[in-house]
Amino acid sequence: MLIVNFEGWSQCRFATDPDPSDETRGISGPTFATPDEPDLDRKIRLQNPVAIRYPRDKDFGVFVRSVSYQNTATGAISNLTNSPLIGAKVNLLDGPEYYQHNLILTEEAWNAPIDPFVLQISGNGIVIQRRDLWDVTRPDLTIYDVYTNPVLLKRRSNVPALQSTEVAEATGAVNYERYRQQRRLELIKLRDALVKKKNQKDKLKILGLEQRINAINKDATMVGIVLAGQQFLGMQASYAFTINGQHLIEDAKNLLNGEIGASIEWPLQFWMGGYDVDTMCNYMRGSLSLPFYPNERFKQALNQ
Amino acid sequence: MIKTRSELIYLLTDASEIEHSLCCIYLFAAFSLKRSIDEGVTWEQLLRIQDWMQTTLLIAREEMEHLGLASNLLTSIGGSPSFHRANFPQPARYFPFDLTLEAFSEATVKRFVCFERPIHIRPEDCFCFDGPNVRVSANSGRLTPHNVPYKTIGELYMILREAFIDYPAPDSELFIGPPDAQVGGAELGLNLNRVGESGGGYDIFLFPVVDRASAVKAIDTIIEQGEGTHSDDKESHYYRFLDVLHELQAMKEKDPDFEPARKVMPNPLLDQPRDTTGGNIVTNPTTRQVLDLFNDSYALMLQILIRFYAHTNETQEELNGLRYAAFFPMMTMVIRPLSEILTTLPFGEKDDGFVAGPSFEYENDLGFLPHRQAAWQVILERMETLAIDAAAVAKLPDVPPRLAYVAQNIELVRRKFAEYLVL
Repeated sequence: MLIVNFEGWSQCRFATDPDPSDETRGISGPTFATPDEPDLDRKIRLQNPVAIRYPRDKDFGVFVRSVSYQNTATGAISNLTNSPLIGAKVNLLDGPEYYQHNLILTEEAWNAPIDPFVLQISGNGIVIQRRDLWDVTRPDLTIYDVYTNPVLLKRRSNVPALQSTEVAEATGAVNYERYRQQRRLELIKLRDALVKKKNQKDKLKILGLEQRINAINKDATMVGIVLAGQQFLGMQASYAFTINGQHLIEDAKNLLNGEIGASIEWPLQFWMGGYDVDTMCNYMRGSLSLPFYPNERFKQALNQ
Repeated sequence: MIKTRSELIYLLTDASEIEHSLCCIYLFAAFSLKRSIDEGVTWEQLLRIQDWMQTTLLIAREEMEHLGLASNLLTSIGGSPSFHRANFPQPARYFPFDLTLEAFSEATVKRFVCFERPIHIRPEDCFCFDGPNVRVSANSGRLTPHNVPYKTIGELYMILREAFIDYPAPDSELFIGPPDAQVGGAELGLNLNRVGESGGGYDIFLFPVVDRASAVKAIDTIIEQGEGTHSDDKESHYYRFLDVLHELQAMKEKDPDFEPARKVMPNPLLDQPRDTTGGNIVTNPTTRQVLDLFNDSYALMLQILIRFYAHTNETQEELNGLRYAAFFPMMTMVIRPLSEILTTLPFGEKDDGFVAGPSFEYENDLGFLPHRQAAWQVILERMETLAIDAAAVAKLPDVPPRLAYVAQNIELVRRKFAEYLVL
């Protein structure tokens, strides 16, 4: 079995309650679009972010960080340091969103099923992709068809944890208040630098930075919104299910040196956490387990 | 001096009516605000407008919290939570002017400052100069509760605070209502972890009242959020509105043509309610249907809230169902979007530039539904009708596509709520 470990920053530009879910600019919740940005659209993006904000413009994206092979007979695990999958892009296709409709679809505040769910890993000419279905016997079902059925809904529901240590250590947000105040100082620097340039075309960017600074300034007076924002910073939403639907596997040059099995469901576990309301980005970490039948070349390489 | 349970109930019912009315007034103003630079404002102005909307909605939420705390106080002493209030425009009773639904403006914000006036600020220093700011309400000395004078909402709560402290009976005799019939932040998922205590989700602190200490804490929370506890309490409603006013005045000085709000007709009405005069009947046929949908949604939400705050023998699962429907889903996904849609729709048959707004009107048919089984059936039937009506209104020509989203939300709530129905 191949175990593909991935992590990195993803984006979701969405209004959060008490704004309605379809709010396009963000008013009463902690997230908002700035004047130089398009409307909020709720899409989860692991690649190709829209209007990415500092500092996530420097390190955005979810990528494969390591790959290992587990011999299911012996349990032995080998780290594949030369795997062609290392560095591959991890993506969710078909416009996935966190679905909740302000607690209409789920009743727990931090439960947000993702729909649709099509995971893709691509790099070095290799594509590994699979869709998850709520019910394999009824492939057309969407969240709206299953939200009253706890058995089906549970599949893609997450287990929430607040003030997660793993999240804090992954994001660096180990002191929420200080993290936000540090961001404020950095945004002030960015704004002042733009103001100094006196370039008319930077006007909306400056307004956008001021809006973000102003939002953090409200930490002093808007207790609940700030608390909610800080809860987001430490939140960890853990998902675990086996991907069960249509698949696509491309490895024309057989760089993987083996065959991935698709008759069997693919165990997947990951978490989304550390959602930063200022950047509308969160960290993602997870692993996908792929049934794998290695060829001789793979075995030889393993034995060396 | 308040000495009887009846007097306490009388005054808390009065307080509930004020909080409910103020909540609607603030919401109306917030939803009147412009939302795009396509509405004749610059980006700089729009960002300020968004701030004012956020602040006004925050204060409206806290008025809902006050209504919730007043309901808990009422339940705690054996009274009934009260969601009744007069329709708008309400004639001057609590304040020196009528309570009206009006668009956000300098005049409107000045009234808001007056509503939240701390007792130590002179009326003439906070725009309360239109008349004597004295409301007369309950008192002892008679068999039936009647009147004591109070000059501000804060003073009303101070009277209540003293009454709870000095009540001439032990806690065990005063607090006879069931604590588990009250609503706390935990039930609503609003209790976020904070240093030293919990609560504060969306600036809401709700907790059950079980004794004098918690009763006083509830009243202090209301006073602190409203007028503030000291002369420079920046988080109080009074100072928040004062800041908004000063910002608005500065923006107007810079640009005298600046209009932050849409041209919303004051006190729009679907029909003339029996309990008020005045107001402006919406005449645009399509807008009337959307307003009708809004009023029906609002009335249904109140009916669910009444049952939730005064539930009897519901199971925990059924209580979850009432809570599920009333709060976030109805408030944020139906009432607010419909309100925002209404302030984009024409008021009259001929387009004179005026738009409509949420009228929050209802006829007096929102009493407590006392029998659990029948109550649930009534609520579910009403929800089913609402879902059908919403779907039909969403298909009308000339309505914004967002109505389809609202209709979808109502249908989603209906389907889930029906799952809770165990008759």
